[in-house]
Amino acid sequence: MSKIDTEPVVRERELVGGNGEELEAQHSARAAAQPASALFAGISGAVDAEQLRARAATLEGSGMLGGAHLTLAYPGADTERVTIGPGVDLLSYPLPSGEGGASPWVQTAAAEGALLALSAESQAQATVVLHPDLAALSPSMLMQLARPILTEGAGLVMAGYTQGPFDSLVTHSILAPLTRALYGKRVRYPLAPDFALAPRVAARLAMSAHSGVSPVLWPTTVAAGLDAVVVEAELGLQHPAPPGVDLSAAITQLAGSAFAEMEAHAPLWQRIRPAVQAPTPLTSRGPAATEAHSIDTGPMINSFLLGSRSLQDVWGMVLPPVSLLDLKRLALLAPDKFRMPDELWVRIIYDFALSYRLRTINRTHLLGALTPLYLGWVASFVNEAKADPAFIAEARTERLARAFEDGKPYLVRRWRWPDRFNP
Amino acid sequence: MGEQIAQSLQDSVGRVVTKIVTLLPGIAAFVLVLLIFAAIGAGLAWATQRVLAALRFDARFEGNENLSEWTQSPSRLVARIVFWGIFLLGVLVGISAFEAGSSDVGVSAYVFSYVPRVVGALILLFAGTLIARVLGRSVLISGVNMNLQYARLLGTGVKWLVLVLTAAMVLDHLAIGGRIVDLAFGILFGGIVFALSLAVGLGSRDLVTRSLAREVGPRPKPGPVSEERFHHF
Repeated sequence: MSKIDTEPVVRERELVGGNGEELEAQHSARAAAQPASALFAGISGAVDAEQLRARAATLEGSGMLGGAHLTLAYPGADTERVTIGPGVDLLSYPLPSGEGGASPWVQTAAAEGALLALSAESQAQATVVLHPDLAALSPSMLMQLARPILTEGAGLVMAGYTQGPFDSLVTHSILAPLTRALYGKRVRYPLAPDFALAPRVAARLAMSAHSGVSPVLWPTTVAAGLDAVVVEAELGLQHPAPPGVDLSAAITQLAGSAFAEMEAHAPLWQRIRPAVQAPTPLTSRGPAATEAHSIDTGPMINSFLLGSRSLQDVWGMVLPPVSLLDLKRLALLAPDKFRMPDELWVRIIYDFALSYRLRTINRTHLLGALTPLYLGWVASFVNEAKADPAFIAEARTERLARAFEDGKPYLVRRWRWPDRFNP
Repeated sequence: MGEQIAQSLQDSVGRVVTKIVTLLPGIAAFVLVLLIFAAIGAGLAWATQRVLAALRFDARFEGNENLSEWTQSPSRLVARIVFWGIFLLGVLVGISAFEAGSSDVGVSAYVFSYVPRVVGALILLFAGTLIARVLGRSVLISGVNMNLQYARLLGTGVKWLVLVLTAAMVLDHLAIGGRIVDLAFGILFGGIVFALSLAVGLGSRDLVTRSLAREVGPRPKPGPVSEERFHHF
């Protein structure tokens, strides 16, 4: 487990004047003195009820919940609470019927909204949301997510995963660095399906779910708005990628949702400065050169080139001339030399966010025009891995995240004065 | 002979001058009325924009993405409509004044009967252009994201299809051109569809060939599934 936002913890340490071990002991003593914690865990999608009961029985028998009473909510038709044992109850909730063809993220967000409403009723001290594949429904992982909330005063615990160097590329190229630069929270998976929340963060996220600002829920943004401590817990597992998702539609959904959050929280992120923090430990996504050689970047570069030939009019309405010039230069490179500089990618994302806000063109068109650029970034990322035997994906995305932070003044300036001359 | 020519020239010049002199008061009245209405229109447009700004009118239309294609400020658009509406009214009143000051009768009746057609045609033109632009760009972006090499051609084709359709509808509504418009529209529309069909057909030739070969030919034995080395999500 890695602490993502250590500042408040450091502050607390300074106040009590002790070292980390003393603090931990005090936390343990405080936790022991409290009555049994009420823990609420919810599965954010359809599950096999029998498998869930078996897992719940394992949880009951493990004794690793530390005396905490667990209510486990899952989508189902039963309305009565089923007691598995003295420490675990099962409760079903109606899965919100999403619109036809809704993306997996929208369906998950609808289920998360329903779970947060149930959690508020149960007055739990910590709410844990889990992926429907139940991979994280083990006593150790459950406590890994809930413990920082119950004993360390954290507001939000986001899961970290063991992934390959070329997994979750939309997250690593857009969502995570954008979230980090805007809200000052180092979270590698801002849309992680497994996370835990303190009651006040859960209540605010439930409000956010009903506000309709964005069809996808962003716990990190809500936690940043409450100035809550955000922690990342490395679970050491990997969920399967959502099947049959159209790339362009998903980018439209996810980037659009992130931009909508930006618009809604503009006063918040404009005053947040990137926190000076220790580098994130490289726990996963290690050397990638071997895997990179098996990836054919040709189709991705072709998509970028097709976009470059066909979408100049659209890009011209969104991007400043210097970015367009850089993109034209990119289009002239040989496939193996194809590299998209971080500064260019950062400016592209920030300018698209700005156009989203200003409604320069229809938003669906705007986000659709981002897909070829994203594929260009992926091709460049893979090419870098091919060229460098010591390529570490985690270190590379860390560098990209810093570029997003460095580029934030550009975003703030353009956001405040969009009509100013921008060469 | 020469005298006769000179006489007929004098007569015709005299008639033209007389006609102009007769029309002059009407033209002066028309210009005056137009200037007055333009000034009233400008004043009303300015007042409208101020009132709408006070009512935060633009903020109410922030959600309308297609309108933003046309104007960044809906209140300015309304003010322009007010100005041009008053100006058009000025033209109509000016024509009435012109008719009153001249011997020609029936001009204003003809123009008045034509106004609803012009308004309808303007609405058609506005809607048609907007739809053409949005539809053309939708097709272009979808085509690029589907990796269609002829996406630009497809987008431009769809845009011009809608524009040609709009132009034909506008001319038909204005009753200009008669059967020529119908005929020209049929030829042009058909031509664009044919060109698009050819472009898509030729561009997708390999795709169709592979698809047919799969249907007709022997089924390939399932080989080892190559595991995808990267995931976007």
